[in-house]
Amino acid sequence: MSTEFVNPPIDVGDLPQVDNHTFEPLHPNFLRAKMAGAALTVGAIVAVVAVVASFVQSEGGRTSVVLVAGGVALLLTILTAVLQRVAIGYMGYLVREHDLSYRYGILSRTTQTIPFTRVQHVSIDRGPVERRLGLATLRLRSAGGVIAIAGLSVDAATRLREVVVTRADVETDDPDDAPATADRRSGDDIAPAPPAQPPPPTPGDGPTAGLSRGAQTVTPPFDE
Amino acid sequence: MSDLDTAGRDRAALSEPSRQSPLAVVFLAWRVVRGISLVNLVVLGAVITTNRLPFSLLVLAPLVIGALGVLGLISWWRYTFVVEGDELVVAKGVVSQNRLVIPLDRVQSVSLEQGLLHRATGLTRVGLDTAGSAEVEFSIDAIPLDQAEALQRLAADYRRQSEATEAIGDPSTTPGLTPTSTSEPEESEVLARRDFGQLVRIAFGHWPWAGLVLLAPALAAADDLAELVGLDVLNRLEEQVGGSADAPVSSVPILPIIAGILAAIVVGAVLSWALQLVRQIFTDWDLTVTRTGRGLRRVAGLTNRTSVGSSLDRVQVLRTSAIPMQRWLGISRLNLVTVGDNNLVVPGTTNAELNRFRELVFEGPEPELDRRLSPAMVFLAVRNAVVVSVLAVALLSQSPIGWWSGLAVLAIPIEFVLARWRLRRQFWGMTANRLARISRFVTYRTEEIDPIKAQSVTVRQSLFQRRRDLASLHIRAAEGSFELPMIPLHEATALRDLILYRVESTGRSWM
Repeated sequence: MSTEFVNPPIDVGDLPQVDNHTFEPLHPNFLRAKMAGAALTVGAIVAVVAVVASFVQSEGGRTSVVLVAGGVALLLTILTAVLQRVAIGYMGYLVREHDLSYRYGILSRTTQTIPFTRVQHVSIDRGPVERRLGLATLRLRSAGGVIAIAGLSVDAATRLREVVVTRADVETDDPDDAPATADRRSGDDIAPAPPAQPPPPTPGDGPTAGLSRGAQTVTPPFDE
Repeated sequence: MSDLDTAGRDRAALSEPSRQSPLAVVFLAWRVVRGISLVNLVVLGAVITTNRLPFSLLVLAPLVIGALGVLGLISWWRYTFVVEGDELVVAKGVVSQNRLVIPLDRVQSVSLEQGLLHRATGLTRVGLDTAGSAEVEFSIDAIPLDQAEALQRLAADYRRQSEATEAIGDPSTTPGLTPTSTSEPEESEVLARRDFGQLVRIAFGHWPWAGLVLLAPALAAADDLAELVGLDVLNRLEEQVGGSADAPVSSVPILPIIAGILAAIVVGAVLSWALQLVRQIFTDWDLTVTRTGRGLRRVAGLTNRTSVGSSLDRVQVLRTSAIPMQRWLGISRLNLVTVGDNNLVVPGTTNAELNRFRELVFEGPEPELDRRLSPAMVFLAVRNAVVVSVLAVALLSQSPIGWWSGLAVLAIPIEFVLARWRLRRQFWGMTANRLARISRFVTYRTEEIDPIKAQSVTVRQSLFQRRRDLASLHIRAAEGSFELPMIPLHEATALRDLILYRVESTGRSWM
């Protein structure tokens, strides 16, 4: 590492900016999935209240418990619906040439960005509700934590995974999804957002640039 | 050429499948005993000695212990390790045979640890760290020191070799054992060493709370003690309050009380420092941090000598802290947050030593720490204090304290002064290769990270921050993180874009 150290000035205003692009929204069914979850919670609360009410002796007392509980449940449902709508309206992801950003939050708003060179592992998870609604959750793992993007359509999740796998040269859960070839990529409708400026030079984009080598070696600890 | 000879010898020492020393069985047993825990053993002993168990079960016990012993022996016999080509192969398992294959160039560090028994027998415990993500952290309990050191050197050679290959960007270079021209010479430089005098200083640079806590029960019994020596202060006080108000106040011996409290504090502090010194001697006796090639090695300990190594590239965040006593002594505590299990902690670091560590970990000049966090932090702190104190007053005014609870509002100006003080003593700054932050409150803390270590970058805005165009920037590294909690939104996003540019435009690895 005897290369000469150079340190030219960088104009921060000229750098590609994450905020200059429009984030992709999540699948509309995601709101339904969230509402299904909320309905389950409210249902569980109502059930508990019903059991409690059955122990109340007086007729009037029982009615008032049921009325109050019903009102609270209704209020909670409406509140959750409104909040989830706002939250999901804000949520979105952005794929650029070299990184993926995910935006979320209701009161406190967060934009998290993970460079593809830091991704070590990609996986897609689908729970029972997600399967019914045609949704999927994409998880990108790096050495410093996970970004989980829920509420993607299965198609979008699969293509996103291919984009990440191609660019990051990483592992995936799906054995069929070995690093995608160029022609597999050509059909993507999730193309990376066009860079605001020409992207910075990337000497590390070759096949050896991935930082996943540590992870790959670690995976099979016990060979037969 | 001597490097080649050493490499050849190291390789020869590991070329045949070897077993651990039979003493490993003892270590295994000791681990099992520790796992059962002392309390359980005591209970078991009590049950046996009080004859609560039927005789048949007592006969069974030696059989079980015997069977476990045989099992331990078999597992010792079946556990072998060998270097085959570029890989360390560990075979183990009693019934089924498991083979664990570790490519040597992926071994991040090899640590050696010697307990008392190890030192008496010339053996050592070896810990291998192949950090990256998952946990092929594993250890060999007891092998001869020579063999362990051979493994340590071999792994370091391979690691250097692979780093050099990556740096050249030519994957076709065949890995061998000759040091490449790009690797740095294998000279070692002592970066820090702690003798007894310095350990005393380190021990003295701690808050002396521990001793005060130990003294608390003694203070509780102080009244009885006082009566014994004829200073029945409390009784006399009671008499005064309950009895005639005419009695002269001077009859209560205020001075001895104050003297007693002061003496207790001094004794407690001295006790704390003494305890801390004992602890320091055990853990950090003859602590030496050396730099070997691209790595750091820390060896320390009195009874258990621990040797922890790490390549410099594994260091993710550099932190220092200094409490007032440490500043007075001109030392601080350095923590190099590294990927894997063990951070490299160097207590009692002087400024000169710190600067050397900084030079090794970071490239380029130190950043100017001249940027401040937003004054909105003070507003937020005061607002929270107002909410809490108003709540406290509202709740406590109904209690026997009554309107005395109004004193809680005093917390508001105090918090205002403290928050302003904190804000005025926090700075941050950045160069292309370093983001740094310092807080000069009671304890001085610094935190530094190379943006290249970022695994993900997050810009977060709470409701409060959104109304004021502020944001927090959070950088996550593979181990540890760095946060700027309250800066203008445009600065946070510009910093994020700059960090992403740094990470994505260089081929440099985070490790």
